[in-house]
Amino acid sequence: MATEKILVVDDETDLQFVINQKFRKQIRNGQYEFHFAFNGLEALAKLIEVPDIAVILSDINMPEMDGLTLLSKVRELKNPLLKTVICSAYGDMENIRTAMNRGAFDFVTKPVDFNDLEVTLEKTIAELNVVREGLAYHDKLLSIEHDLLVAREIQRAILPKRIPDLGWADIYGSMDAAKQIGGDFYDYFLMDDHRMGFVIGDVSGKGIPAAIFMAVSRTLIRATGLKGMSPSECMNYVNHLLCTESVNSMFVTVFYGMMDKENDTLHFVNAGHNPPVLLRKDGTMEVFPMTCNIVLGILDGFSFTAHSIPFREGDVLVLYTDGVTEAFNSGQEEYGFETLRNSCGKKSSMIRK
Amino acid sequence: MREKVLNDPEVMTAGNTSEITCRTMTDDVVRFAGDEEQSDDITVLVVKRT
Repeated sequence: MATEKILVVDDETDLQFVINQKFRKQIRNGQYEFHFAFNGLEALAKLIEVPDIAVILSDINMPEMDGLTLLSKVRELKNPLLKTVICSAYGDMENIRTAMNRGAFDFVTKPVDFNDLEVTLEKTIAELNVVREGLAYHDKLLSIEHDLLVAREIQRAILPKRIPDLGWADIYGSMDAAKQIGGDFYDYFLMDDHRMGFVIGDVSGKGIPAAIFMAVSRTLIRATGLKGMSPSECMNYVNHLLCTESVNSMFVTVFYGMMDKENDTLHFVNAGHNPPVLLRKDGTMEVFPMTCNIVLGILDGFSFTAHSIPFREGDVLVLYTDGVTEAFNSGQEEYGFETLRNSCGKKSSMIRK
Repeated sequence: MREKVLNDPEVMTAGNTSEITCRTMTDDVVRFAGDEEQSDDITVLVVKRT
């Protein structure tokens, strides 16, 4: 139990003896530690000298600086961990009201009933403990918020930056996270001089668990893809690893593609992800059909089926996550797939240039 | 409202059509959503064979 420091401010010189006598048990067992000042000015000096004083027990009528002025000064300190209890005579109700309006936590009347004072001090310290607990939670939240900001930076850092002009591929991705950290990801990497792997994914759930699972998924896919495996082999292997490591039944939807410039072909596996839109050089638009694959991370041993399509100069593949099609406006209208497709259509002529 | 990504002169003059397409599509969604709170991540990836 921490010792609570109490500052008694009163110009009655014998009060110090009485307080020490009445609270000797609490002083002896380390519950309370009393400090004394004879007026408001001395009290302010004592607050500097002993900064962790928790409770001020102050009289109103004192020389040099009275209790009401002291209250005003204490309020300027804006210290939530410092409470003031005013001690004044019965007939001084107007002053007591003024004290309460200046931020006094409570008041006790003179002549002091020490049983009542003991209860008042316990109540004041209980209130301080609530404030302390709130501040501790606030500090923890600030710490978590800081950690989330760092996590956001790390998450951004692991998303790929612009790759050098290859002369045969132009690729760009962006992720706009709804919270500090997201569960979506994309990636692309060169497998050799004529093949490029790319992936877009969306992890189930949100927040920190999704962000961690996102980082794991992205890393596994990249590491596996860089070995040069075919898309189906890559997904089979990553699915096995994710099923082995997955907790809380988390899963990830993935579109994994391998672009091969040697034969102008795109090999891909769509593991439960939104169907991409393919804009052909001739201006036609194709929507990838749904496949019989499932998401990654839920069924170990599942055999993923890959597909291959021609992917020639001028063709553009637009991949997205459900945050695009399921965005809502203030009228509760959904952006939807049709809007996305129309948007792709409008951009088609520009893209083909 | 989230910051718009469209009309970034550096991007629009870069000649990178995938980047322009990606960023304008993201901006379309952001503009559509307006002040409505974003409930899910918005991710777009554009791959062009050149």
